[in-house]
Amino acid sequence: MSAIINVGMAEIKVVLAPQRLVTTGLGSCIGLCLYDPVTKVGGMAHIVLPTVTNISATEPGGKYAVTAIPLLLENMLKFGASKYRLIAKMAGGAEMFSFPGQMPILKIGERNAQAVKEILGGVSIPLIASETGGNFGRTIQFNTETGELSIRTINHGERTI
Amino acid sequence: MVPFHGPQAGRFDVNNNIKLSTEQLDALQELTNIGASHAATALSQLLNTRVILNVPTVRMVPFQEVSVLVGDPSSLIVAVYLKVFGDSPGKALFLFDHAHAQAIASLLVPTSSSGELYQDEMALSALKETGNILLGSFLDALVKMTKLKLNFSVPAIAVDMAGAILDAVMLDGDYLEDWVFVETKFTGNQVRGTLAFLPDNGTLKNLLGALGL
Repeated sequence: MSAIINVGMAEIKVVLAPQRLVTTGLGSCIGLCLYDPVTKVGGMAHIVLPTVTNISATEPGGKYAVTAIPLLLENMLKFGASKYRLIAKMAGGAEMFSFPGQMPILKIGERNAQAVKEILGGVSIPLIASETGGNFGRTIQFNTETGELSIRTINHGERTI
Repeated sequence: MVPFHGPQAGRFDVNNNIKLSTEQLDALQELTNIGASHAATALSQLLNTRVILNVPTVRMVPFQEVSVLVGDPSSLIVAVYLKVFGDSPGKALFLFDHAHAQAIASLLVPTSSSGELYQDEMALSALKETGNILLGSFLDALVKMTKLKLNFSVPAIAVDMAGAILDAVMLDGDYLEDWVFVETKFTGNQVRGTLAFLPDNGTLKNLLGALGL
């Protein structure tokens, strides 16, 4: 049996196959996975917010997209991943509640997804699949044997990307 | 009922700069108790059933633990959410577990199907209004006791995983600090749920100030 490692809010975890990574109940947060298909090193960050003006040293590194992605990358390399083989997949970034007339600037889920895309672009890691947005929560599991990200929802079915 | 297994009442995170005295905790608890009893009366009248209130708890919750507040973050819940503006801005939530939400919906909308709640517009509308009445009477009582000026948004409803709902509520407004979490449970023959009030970061002092603390 392969162990399943839970990635809590603002956490970053890196594992080797056959260990799997799981995050339960993503709302506006993003579950970002990086994967090296050769060494089968897989990592997941449970990103909460895009960025912040003052990052305090006491805050967990996985909280913001701007800090989580470099940290996840660094840990992937420590585990023997090659930066040039890395691929990325992400899920989450929903808007769970809708208020009439809410300004788009407040759509935090969408902004989280956008920030992750931009930062990945900046470090040249291809985002090969993503499943973000909507108004529903997601539980995700990353299979480090295959690089598949399975997404479960309550009212919107299941899929694998 | 939505069970809460969060940190103990009055526990503080080491990084948190809000320190509440026993007196302040008691006052918040009392304030919540009175507010919640107004809400319970409203609910009792609406559903024509007996509603029992548990003693409210006031606690600090580190943001990482929010998704486990309702026990299992993957559990299916129904949440009604109001944003509170004015002198003491914050977030007000009423959480039903799915089975009790269905029971309440079928009391209010007898024609409602017992099937998929999230697709049942009538049932959702009735639950949204139930949450609105509950939270509205809670907040009205808060206004009367504190003389603070509070306005609140129209209600929004979600039927989904507890973790996803709480993470979205927490991130709404874009700041992310540890929460002061005031919650009280409702129990009764057909009614179970949890009312929570979450003052925005740093605004708890307004609430306490209004109580002379």
